[in-house]
Amino acid sequence: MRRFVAGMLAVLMLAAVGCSGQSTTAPDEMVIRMNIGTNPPSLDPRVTTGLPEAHVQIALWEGLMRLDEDGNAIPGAAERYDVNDDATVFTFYLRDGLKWSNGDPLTAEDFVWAWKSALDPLLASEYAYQLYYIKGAEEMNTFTSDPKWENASDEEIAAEFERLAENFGATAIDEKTLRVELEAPAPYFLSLTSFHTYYPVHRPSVEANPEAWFRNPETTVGNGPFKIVSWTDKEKVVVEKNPNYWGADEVKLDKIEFYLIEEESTVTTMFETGELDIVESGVNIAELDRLKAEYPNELLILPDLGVYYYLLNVEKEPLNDKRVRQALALAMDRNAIVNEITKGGQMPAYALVSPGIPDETGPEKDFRKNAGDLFAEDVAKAQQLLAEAGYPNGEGFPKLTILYNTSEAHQKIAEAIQEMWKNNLGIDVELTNQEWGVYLDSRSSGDYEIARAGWIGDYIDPMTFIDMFVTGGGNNDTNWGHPEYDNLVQTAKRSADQAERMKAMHDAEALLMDEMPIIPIYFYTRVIMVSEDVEGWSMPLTSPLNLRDASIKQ
Amino acid sequence: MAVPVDQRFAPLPDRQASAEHISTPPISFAADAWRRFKANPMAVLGLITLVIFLIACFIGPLLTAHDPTTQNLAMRDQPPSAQHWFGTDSHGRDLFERTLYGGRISLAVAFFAGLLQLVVGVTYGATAGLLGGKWDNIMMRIVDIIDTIPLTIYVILLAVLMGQGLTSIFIAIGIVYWTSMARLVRAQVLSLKEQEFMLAARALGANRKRLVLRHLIPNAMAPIVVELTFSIPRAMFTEAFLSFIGLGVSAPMASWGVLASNGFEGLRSYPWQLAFPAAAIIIVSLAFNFIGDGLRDALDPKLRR
Amino acid sequence: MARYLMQRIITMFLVAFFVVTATFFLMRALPGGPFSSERNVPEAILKNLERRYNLDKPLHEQYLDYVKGVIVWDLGPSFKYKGLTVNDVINRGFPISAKLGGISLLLSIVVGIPLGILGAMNHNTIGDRAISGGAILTAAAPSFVIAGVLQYVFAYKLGWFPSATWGGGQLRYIVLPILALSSYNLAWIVKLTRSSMLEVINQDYVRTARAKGLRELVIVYRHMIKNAMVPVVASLAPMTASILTGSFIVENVFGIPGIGREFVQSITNRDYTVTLGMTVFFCLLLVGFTLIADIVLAFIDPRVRLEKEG
Repeated sequence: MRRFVAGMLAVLMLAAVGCSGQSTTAPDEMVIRMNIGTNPPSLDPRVTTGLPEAHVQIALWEGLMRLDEDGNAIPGAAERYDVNDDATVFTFYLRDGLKWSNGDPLTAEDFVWAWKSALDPLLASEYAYQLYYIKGAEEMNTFTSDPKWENASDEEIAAEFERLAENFGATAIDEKTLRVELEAPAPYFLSLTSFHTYYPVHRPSVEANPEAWFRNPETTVGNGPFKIVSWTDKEKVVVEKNPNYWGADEVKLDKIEFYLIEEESTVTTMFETGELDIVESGVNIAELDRLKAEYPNELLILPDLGVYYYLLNVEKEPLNDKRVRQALALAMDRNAIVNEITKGGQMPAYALVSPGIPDETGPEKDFRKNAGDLFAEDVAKAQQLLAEAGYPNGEGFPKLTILYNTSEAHQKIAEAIQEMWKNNLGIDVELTNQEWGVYLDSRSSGDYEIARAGWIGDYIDPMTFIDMFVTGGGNNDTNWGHPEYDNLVQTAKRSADQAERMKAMHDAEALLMDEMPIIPIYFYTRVIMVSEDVEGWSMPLTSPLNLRDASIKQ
Repeated sequence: MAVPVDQRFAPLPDRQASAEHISTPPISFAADAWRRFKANPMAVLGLITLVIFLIACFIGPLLTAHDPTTQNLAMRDQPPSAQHWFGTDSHGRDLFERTLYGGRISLAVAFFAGLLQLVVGVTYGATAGLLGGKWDNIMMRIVDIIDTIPLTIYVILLAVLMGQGLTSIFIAIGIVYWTSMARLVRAQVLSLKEQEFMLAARALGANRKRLVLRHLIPNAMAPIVVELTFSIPRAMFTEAFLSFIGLGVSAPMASWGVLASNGFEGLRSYPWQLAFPAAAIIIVSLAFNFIGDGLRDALDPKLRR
Repeated sequence: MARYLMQRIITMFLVAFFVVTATFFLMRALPGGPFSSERNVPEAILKNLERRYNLDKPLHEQYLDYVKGVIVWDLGPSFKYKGLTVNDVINRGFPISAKLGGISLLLSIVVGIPLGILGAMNHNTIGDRAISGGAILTAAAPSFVIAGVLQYVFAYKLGWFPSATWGGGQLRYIVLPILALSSYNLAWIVKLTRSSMLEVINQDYVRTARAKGLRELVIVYRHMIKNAMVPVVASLAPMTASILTGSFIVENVFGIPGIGREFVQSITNRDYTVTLGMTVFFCLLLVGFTLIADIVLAFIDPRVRLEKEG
């Protein structure tokens, strides 16, 4: 019996080893294998909201503009553009002979139709608001929230949508000219047209199977440097070079395989065994010390446009006292957190707006650097503030709770902060973890005292952070509101004058950091691993990883 | 031939009475089992190990120098040393101390789960098997329902209703943790109840309670002990899962299951962060296993001498 | 027996109905929804989404619609995965999970039962203790550790197998996941077989058979295994149902697109229809296999009478 068992195992092992080592691709093909993490919920650029699918979409589609490696908008499908003085009307001129990946001609009307259909309330795109800059867009998308449409049929809604669409700001003047009128001045609109919500979609394919066209390679027609070969859910998406792309001559890769593996330890192992060339998502954070030492040239830390912070519920005692909020913010050691806990090269945050946003009105040309730190860690001052608020040495301070969604990373940070507050202020806080959905619900219903939060900017402008905290804002879970803050945000939104906009936003940020309804902790980074053989890739701030110009060193 | 009376032979006393005299002292079932349990060295070793763990976890922390929650970021991720026997964790906390404290939670959960299996699982399964027919069908379909509705859902609801704490862990485990035992015992009882000794017991007028306690369960000990043994590590990891959902003991305290899960991602850099809590779970499980095997042998009515 | 079977099949559907109902309402009682995220969707867009997925209807109407769908095995669309129905998710993931689970179950049975018998026949020898201890070691080591260690040793250190992915189900891709998936069940079958064999080893009929001078193999096969298999068969029913529907941990570590992950992730995503569909599917498998196990039980052990009340 023993021999039988051993024999069976041996046969199983040998049979398996025997057929290992074969490759699925031809040896002369240039292929990049990159892990992007979660399975895309969809590939329809009009409805997706996540970064994983954006990595695939940037390979399959191209907007009017695209971003160069520094994040500047350069011509994509459009060869050039005009803009009026107050940045409210843009005119784009498409390149000659643009084609879809199936060979059909690509026209200005395709863009208009894609944008319009993204706004259709019956499509119900979660990212439709990315198009609200265009005149008439918001109304087209949201008229259904009026109670009178509650029991309307789909046909009635479609008819009303068509009626409103007659005033849509985006129009095709001819096959190659696209005119876009905006609601308000938006200098950053140009970069927005490189964003996936602004990609064109192939109308005949979409209309043939509106629910699931992107699940069939035949109907997943794009205009980008690559075209789709296959998508197996939860496993991988494979794309190959698109010969109909206008810049096909510049594309060197034959194929990209996007892996959809979530487990970080697995992804990192696959990179180490050479089964992956790029790890965009899934660098094992728990092993950063080792990876930094063993892969000094492959492990890369890139800036991100985001901030990790704690929300304070200003309606809960004693957080309704500004001095208490300030004391909590001042009594942390952010350097210890980023160096010893998160270890991913994050920057300690002493303000809301992440670095990397241009601001030509100051000496440093960067919004963050122009403003500098808006507060400084100071334990003595924190103790004094707490004493002034009536809790000398933390005496009598109620037991507050830090809420976070279950995750080892959040827990480690919370544990460190708990200890810092205990040592610096003499106060005890408790930690509570909740399942994701429960946590979101607790946050939005104000059922918390202190909660962990994070925000990644949508677009490269301070407004993407600043307008979160207007009174009653959709993402302002602090219950904090300030009329002066609201005014400053309105001023910045209405104005086309950069100097005036930036000043208003600097003032707003300073006010927020004085009131301290949130405690900034650090600015995010993106930790990725790229094989030394991969050249020519780019990943500007907030963008997906672009392999259009990538190649493998021979 | 007549045999002459030989003086060398003496008549024997009447043997009738002494032949029926029970010379071994009367011994109860439990005492007999304990006697045979003691004779099994592995079982005794298991018991001693378990007692040591209990003492270490519940009394040990009072005697040691470190505190399980005091951080020292400068000393993070240190390998085992004379100062920190099990090394330190990501915040420079002493892992030995944390493992001792974690044992309190994990051992409590393990004992609770074991007790539940024995009390609820065995009784339920035996009742279903004994009643049979329609009642068996109804009772076992209830088990199916409990096994089918995803645990995660009611655990999330429980977390919302009750928040963190050992009580909520016990309740969550209490709802679901006895069903596998019930299935096993019920199948065993279905098979046992038609055996000759059951017929005999019934013929002698034994009531249901006596049938179950004295006849069925001792004969179903094999699967009961196996299930009990396996449920110990399972319960400890279920506790870790429940902690991630938001039940359980709140950070920075952590059970063995949570310590092991947290240590897993850093397996290759800091193997001791996984090894010690995992080893604790394994050793306790092994101890339970050998105790279980010893118990099974000791309780087996057929091996009774 | 026919009447008994009918009765069992009817209760099977009653159980499924009860499970659907309970899961439906429990799921809806959870805080959060399919469209909640840290980046809140504007109110108006949320309304469009709810309309599109019929979440704006009263709850009892949604429930009735859902039950009607389940009856014709139309499990509805996924909220998270656009353009996919729950039927698609099951049709894609189940063959994968079932292949892995089926092979690993077979492996556990084929290896586990002989090992268990071996242990029992050599009761309390070194070999028996090694088998018994080894089984507990395997069962007590959490499956993520076993999966992780297998991956580290055989994929990273030795390079014998790919680290992860399904690879179309080729043998070299599935060996490690199968081993990881088998470990717990294998240990369980070994221990249960061993203990049950010990129960029958001293039964009178076994002694009689031995006294008659029957060959040892015949005794083991004809007289012992059948009787020792009662608990093993009983535990195979839930084991089969759950292993065929995949394991979250093994699928996650090895990046396998089975349905084990769907079960867990759909709850986090509040993807109501996927959770419900998976639950109904699992329920039918579980109750079905329990029925089969009961019939097998009655078959191998003629003393078991299912229909008779005691």
